[in-house]
Amino acid sequence: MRSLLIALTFTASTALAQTTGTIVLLTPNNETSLRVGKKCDLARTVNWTYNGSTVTCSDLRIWLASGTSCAEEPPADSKELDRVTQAELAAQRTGQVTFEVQDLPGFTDEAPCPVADREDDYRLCASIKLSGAVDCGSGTFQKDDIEIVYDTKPPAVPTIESVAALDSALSIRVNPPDDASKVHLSIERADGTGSAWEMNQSVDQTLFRVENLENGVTYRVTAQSEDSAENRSAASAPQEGTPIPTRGFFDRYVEAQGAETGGCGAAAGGLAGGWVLAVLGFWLSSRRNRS
Amino acid sequence: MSRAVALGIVALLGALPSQALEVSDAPTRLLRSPRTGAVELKLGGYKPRIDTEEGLSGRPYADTFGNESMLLFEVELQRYFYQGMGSAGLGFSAGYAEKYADAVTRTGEPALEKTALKVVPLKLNGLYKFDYAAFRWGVPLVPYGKLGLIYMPWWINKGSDTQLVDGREAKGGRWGYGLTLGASFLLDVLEPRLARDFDSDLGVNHSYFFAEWTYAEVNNFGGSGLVLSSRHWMFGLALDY
Repeated sequence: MRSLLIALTFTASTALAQTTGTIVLLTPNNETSLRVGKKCDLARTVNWTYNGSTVTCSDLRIWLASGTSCAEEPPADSKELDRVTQAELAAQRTGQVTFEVQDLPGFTDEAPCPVADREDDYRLCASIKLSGAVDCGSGTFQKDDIEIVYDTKPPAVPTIESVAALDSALSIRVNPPDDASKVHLSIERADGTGSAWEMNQSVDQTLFRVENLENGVTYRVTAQSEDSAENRSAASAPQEGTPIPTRGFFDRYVEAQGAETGGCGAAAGGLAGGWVLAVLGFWLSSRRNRS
Repeated sequence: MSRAVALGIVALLGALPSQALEVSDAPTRLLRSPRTGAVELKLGGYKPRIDTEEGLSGRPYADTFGNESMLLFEVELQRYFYQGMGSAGLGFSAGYAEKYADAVTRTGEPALEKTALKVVPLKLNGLYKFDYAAFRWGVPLVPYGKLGLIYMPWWINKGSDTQLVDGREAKGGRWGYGLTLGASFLLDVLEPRLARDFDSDLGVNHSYFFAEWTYAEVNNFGGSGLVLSSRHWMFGLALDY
């Protein structure tokens, strides 16, 4: 009876160990979703790690599949990226798979990459079958997956909320759409002379300051939004602004015949710095004497 | 025998108060930490006398900032070198003040960008505080005076940049001197027990509220250029340590 109990205990602990194995997929930047766009030869790399018992009941398989979930094994229309045999897995617990956007299973000879104006869901899947309590017949699959979105849909068009005229500059506030990650601003002279140039900022900074403009000249600005898959929207409705000369306090002072010429002498600055150091020195020494 | 017992009781009763006095006296002396200097935090309105510059044809400060004061914040560290009939020592202070207003167009209309004057007054002062009466006789007012050298870096912005007008860069530093007279109110008298705890726990001997008036001539000792002189009041909190 006691031998039976001991045997059952060992069996149970083995089974427990076998079912704790996990397979983990991780991108180099720990992203939970990969958003890719129309660059078909863009390569993405994903690391896999297997943690668990060496007792496995299948090879470790990694594949690309259409849809929003992963099967236990690669379906027929998927694209297998790697297969690590049980024997290899005993020695190799980590690895890397690389795929290009054009490897996604949605592309066919009839509809090759790139396909415009699409937003399709894919999954990078990994699975391995682990032994059950008694044998592989009662085993379960351990899986992990990473979402991949093929996105060639441009984001919505941003709007230019305001163009404020400054001295030799324009301050432009843009309202980007929610799905944008960046805003591009194009500036050109409204009379068509000269060439246009562009600035871009993250959507966290929606206020642009365009400097070194000519006062009295009207400039036309348009904005475009860009999403994380580098799709660009159409251009916004153009807005115009004309920088104007303004006067600050120092302009007024100079106009009033103020004699100040500015500039900070090195000797004066150094002396002031010396004060600070000297005073801090005596203050600190007084603190040290006390303690 | 009964006389001896009576004498013994009298001697015991006589000894009790003296013992109590010793117990109550000892901690008072131990709790007082050494007093070597002070820290002051102060706030006040500073209005530079820019418009008084000799030869100025207008009132650029008043026209731009509407004749209002700048809000000045200062921190001063002091070290006493003499403590007897009052306290004397040296103090160093650094502060910051800024004032914003709309820039204007050529026609005088408010523009969509701001202009600002910013200053950092640095002062090295000799100081004397008549705190003898406060500590000796419990009078909670401490008059004091400071005399010292001032160096004041300044700069003027329009938008986000320092202004440059006719080749003149709107930044620099001005030297000067200042006299300050003030009075501190010793807060210890309001909560003596709290004041003792403050001393024993943190080493802060005394705390004060104070008001002081400063006469400052900051114009490079009469030289030409920006006049950052002022006559202003400051109010704050001082802690002796």
